Amino acid sequence: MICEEVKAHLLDYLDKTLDTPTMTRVATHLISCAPCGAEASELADCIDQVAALPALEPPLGFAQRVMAHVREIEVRPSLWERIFLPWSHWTKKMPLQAGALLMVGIIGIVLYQKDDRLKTTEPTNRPLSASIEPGNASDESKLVDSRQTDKKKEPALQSPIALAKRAEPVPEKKPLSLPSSAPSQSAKNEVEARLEDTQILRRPPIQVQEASTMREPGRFSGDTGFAPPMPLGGLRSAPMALDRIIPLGERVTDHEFVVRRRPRRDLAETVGMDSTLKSAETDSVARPAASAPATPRIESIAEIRFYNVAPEHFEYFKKELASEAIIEAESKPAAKEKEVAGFDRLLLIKVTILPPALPEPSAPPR
Amino acid sequence: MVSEAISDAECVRKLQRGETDAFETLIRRHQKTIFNLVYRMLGDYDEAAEISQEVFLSAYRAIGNFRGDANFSTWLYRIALNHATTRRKSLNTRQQRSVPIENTEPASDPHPGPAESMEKKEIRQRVQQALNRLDPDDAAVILLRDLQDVPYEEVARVLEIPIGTVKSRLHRARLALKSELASYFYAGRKAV
Repeated sequence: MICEEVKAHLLDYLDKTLDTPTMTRVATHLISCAPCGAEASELADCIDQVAALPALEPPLGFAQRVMAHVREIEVRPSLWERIFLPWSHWTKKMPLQAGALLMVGIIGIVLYQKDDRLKTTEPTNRPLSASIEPGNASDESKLVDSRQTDKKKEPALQSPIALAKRAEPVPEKKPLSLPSSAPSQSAKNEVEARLEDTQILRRPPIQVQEASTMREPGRFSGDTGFAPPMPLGGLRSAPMALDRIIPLGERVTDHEFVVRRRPRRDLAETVGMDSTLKSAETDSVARPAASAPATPRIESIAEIRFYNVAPEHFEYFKKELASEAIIEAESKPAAKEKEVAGFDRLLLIKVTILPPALPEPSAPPR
Repeated sequence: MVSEAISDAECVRKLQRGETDAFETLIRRHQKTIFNLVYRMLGDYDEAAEISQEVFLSAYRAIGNFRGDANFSTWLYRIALNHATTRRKSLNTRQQRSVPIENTEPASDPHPGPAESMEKKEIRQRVQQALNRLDPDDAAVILLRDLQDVPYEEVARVLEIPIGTVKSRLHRARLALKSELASYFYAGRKAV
């Protein structure tokens, strides 16, 4: 056996796993060959040295210490187990995941609702300064449009009192913007004023009942120079027998009379004309006329009455009126009004009653 | 306490059924073997104690994956060598393996003679230093085969390599160890 063959079997030889004939041949070669014998001896020595290493005892209480850690692991599941525990363990032992899911859901709902709110409020939640910013023509037109829309809704809410107020001058509204936007505000006010006028013109006539200017019989105050209501059997005052609905803006009467009361010397002398004039001034009916241009006739208007008179009794009514007062003027109805009036209804007669004529001032004694 | 008479396989089954006390039996049965293997791999007693504890805890956590195809000891050897190899590499990287072996080598013979004790202790230190200088795979195969006397088949299963590879690796590892020890053991012999 040569050295190479011995080296190939050396491991098994040292492990004593070779068959007997081979073991004998290898052993014979190792005795006869010094280098192979020395190497085999050194290797065997190494194996013996390693095998001779003493077996050390583990630290005291090693097993107990390991078991203590094992029981800790039992009580506290690992992070991986906590994440992937079944749902029942989730809710009992580790509600972190459930809480996290709940929070995600709540945040999602809040964000969703917030987004909807933003979408809803975006067009109307703009700052006022932005809406009236100078040069922002589109915004201004939107503002005008929105106001026009509001105005269109307005007539349905009108009342006679509001309608009467409309005749008064519209008070100037306070500016809503900052002082820096004053030019824009003035332009806006102008636009509003125009819109106001347009709305008034376009507003359809409101059906209201006749606003009576007639005083009830026997309740005259101050005007002692005028007799109690005319004792006309066929005449009724308009408020007592209102049977027509007349547009206030288009007050149409069939006939109009302007009459002047006949003076009573005795009363005029005892009471004087101051009270008459005072009563004329305080009369609510005459108040609108008082604001009109100052003409002698209009200023002296004392009362306006309306009468419903049957057409066949009109001449009789006129005679009675002439007997009680001095008819100064009479307006005849237009042809169109006559057609509209017809004969199937009472005539509406407006009587403007002027106070008695003032006596001529006597010449001062010289 | 589980009886010491039952086999490893039965202890493993009990452990897999939730009987934690069965694991204590396995620890007591294998603690010395595993500790010595790890200690010879690392050369440090305290490190060996810590790593051995980690080995058993890892085995406990992974006991559900143990199918029983191999011996429990084979499986435990594999875990121990993995932990020890990883630890040894990290120690070599950090250059922390400066603990003198003299301070960590406990006395095995309670009543040795003074001269014999010193000589044996020196030999053990030299052998341990030589093992520490070996490649971890070479050290592992030597320790399994020559120290633990593990059969080739089981070594092959532990290292997950064929038996032929185990033998060739073992021969190569022994030659490397002989080279490491040559300066101490055989210099005088050659000089003579």
